[in-house]
Amino acid sequence: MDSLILDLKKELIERLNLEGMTPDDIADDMPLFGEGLGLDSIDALEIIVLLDKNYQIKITDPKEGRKIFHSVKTIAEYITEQRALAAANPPA
Amino acid sequence: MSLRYYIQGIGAVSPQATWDSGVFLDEPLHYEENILKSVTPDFKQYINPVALRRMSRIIRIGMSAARICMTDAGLAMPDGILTGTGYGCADDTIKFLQEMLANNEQHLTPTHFTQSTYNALSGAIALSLRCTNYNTTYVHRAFSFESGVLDAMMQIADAPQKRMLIGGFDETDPHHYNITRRVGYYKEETVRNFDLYTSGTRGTIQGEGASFITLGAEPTSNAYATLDGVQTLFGVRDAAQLRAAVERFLAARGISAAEIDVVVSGRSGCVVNDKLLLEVQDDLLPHATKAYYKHLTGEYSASAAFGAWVAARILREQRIPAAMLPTGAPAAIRRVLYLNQYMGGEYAMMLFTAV
Amino acid sequence: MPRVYVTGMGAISAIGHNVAEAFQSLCDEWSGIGTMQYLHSQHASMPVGEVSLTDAELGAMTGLPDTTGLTRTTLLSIIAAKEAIRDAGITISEANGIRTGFISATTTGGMREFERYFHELQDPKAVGDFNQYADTLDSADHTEKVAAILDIHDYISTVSTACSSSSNAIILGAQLIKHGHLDRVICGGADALCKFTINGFKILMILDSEPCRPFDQTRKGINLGEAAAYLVLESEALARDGRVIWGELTGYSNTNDAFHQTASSPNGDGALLSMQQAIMMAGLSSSDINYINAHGTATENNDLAEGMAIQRLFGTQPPLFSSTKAYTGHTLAAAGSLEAVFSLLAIAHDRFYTNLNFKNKMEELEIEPIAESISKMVDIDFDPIENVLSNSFGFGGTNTSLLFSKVKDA
Repeated sequence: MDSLILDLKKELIERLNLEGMTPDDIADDMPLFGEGLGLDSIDALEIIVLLDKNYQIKITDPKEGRKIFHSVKTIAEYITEQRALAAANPPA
Repeated sequence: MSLRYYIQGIGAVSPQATWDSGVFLDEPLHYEENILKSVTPDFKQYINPVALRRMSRIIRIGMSAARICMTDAGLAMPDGILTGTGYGCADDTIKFLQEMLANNEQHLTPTHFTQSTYNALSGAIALSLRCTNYNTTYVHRAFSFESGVLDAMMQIADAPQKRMLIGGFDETDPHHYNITRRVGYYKEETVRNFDLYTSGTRGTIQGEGASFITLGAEPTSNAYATLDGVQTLFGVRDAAQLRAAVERFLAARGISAAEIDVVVSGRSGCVVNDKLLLEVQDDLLPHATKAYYKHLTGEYSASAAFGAWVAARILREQRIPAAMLPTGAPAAIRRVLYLNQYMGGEYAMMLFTAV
Repeated sequence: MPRVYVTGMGAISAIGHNVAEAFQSLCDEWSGIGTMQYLHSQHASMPVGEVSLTDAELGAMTGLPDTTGLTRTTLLSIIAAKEAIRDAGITISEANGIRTGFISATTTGGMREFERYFHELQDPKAVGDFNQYADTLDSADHTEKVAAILDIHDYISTVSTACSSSSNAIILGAQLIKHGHLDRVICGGADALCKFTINGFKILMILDSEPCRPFDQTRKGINLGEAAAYLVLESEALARDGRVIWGELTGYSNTNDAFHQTASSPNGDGALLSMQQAIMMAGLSSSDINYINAHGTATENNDLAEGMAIQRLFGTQPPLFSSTKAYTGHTLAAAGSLEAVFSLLAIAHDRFYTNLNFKNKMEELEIEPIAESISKMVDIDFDPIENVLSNSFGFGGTNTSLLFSKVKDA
């Protein structure tokens, strides 16, 4: 989980062009949107692409994304959960 | 008509260090390549860091030039924001296209798409100012900035209290460079920028930048010059036609060719495309001092905005920088004619008068 | 200042290859949205509003002997512009002393061909027919080629303000006539479908995989379309010579939301301002408006913003309003001028158009568009349609409203 969180932070910094930030600047449970990191709707779309590309996780409803993308920790939990689901139900 | 249009402020970011109002092309940069990129200021001076994050390089350049211009004019809220550009945000457009082709239409970057629209800069300026006023973008090669100027002049005539922010921007892009080189836009050989006009070959060099002017009917204390008219010419066949058009343009403003002190010429260094322009500026305006700028900035669609920037400064400072390779040194400069050609296809002119 | 009249119209879209066919489709409630036939994309399952002709067929329709190097956007543009000129019953000639302009709008210009040949074009060693498209991505390419074909030289320009582009082309045309720079302007816009925009809107998750449902609670986004549409604008002096006058452009406004890069302010501030200013310019009041051709893209954001703006301006009993995007798809730069054509047809025929695919009223709104049931109520005595507002909004916060009015004593 910790390495997944660190990977995610690095990926977010790169993908969202968070200039001058390091993984240490993003607390695991810091809200990504609004008051916290201040991300917006286009960032949410960027995160959807990131999850699809790097983790093969497809989110089709941006509203669903809002809950999952609360913080780096919630994203990591979602990835872990989806991986477990995929392992339990391997594609035919 | 008594209404006059004053250039109340200017701002430019270009391949020369033009954001500093203290110097006027006094120490020009020399280039030995065919693509000239802008020398950029510290963007944080002009753009809030949160907004900066998702802005592409050309949006940053454009935002900075707009801010410099507004500060210069003492303008807090323009009554209209008008931009002109040829290829717009070329870098984001090409990046999105390349991703699309390389990834077989999967996993694309939304930001590139949202930034690829031609009105991304005019929208970003409005957003940064919370400016709900008129907002438009013209995308007609070397008529782009000129279209914005004419549009703004009509709106000022409708409501003379209006102050309009008008700009032109374009960004270099190696893909466009390669692609349009196929149809002879750029030189086959590498040329030093200060040798552009003696190259004796076809094609020009690619450049970029963003320049803005604030235009209004009030002769503010900071006013640089008046902008007395703009004219675009499409389908020019020969020098006689171009010459007649310039004469008509001047006559409509009650002046003769002999009254033009300086021609800011859009000569591009292409032996073919410059032909009519050079013929007309020599035959019709033999006494005017010719001054050039495309070797300093490179060629791009909206370069007329830089032409307006230099014309305004020449008139206020009453001097032509040596870097513009002037053919003379007029004692007093009252009228400047900007005369441009772009890739031999579009011709345009603007007239400026000292205040 | 001279008044500005519309004397000619031309349009090619998914619902018809000319204005008459489009009007028939609107009256028949026939949608042009279907599966992708002519564009080759990985997202072929996305419904689109394509013009049902190949490039070769479009080329033949132009009547030109040689269409080498003309992009699909240019072909669409020529066909619609020529129709507008025929419809106006005018001949363009330098000799007649009528100063004529051509102002077109596009969002992607020749992107369809550029994306097809990008690899070859950027490889300096590659040679082939694709070379004819080397500078057709440039937005001005289609404008200049069409202007040259139409023999228009007095003034040309190209506008690109995302989805409001051709409405702004119409505004510039009107201004040039009012200020005496021109007597006549052919203005509008053109955009061919391309993978670039399909992918762009798809990645923004505002492309619906079903037929779009403007102003419906269940709406999920747009269907893209392609089209070209042009109006012939003329000064009053020129237009009043016994020819048919479709209407007068009595008001227009361009404002900006200044809210977000791609989204409209959810309470509709920008849309409200642009409609208010257009009505004010025409010297009318909101009660004079008989029909609104809404932008109504069917994105969650646009329809909420626009619906709120209509409700704030007109109250809970607004004029009849509908979006025609479910017929044509969202034709981007062409949308404003295409819907201007529909608005003028509404005035000419005292018709309004059903908002296709509307079933469920939006929760946030008290108002709803013209449902099928309303349009079928033939026994109701509707007011004649004299003033129509046409909205176009887009990325970059752009909001443009046009107001067309019936010309009575023409």
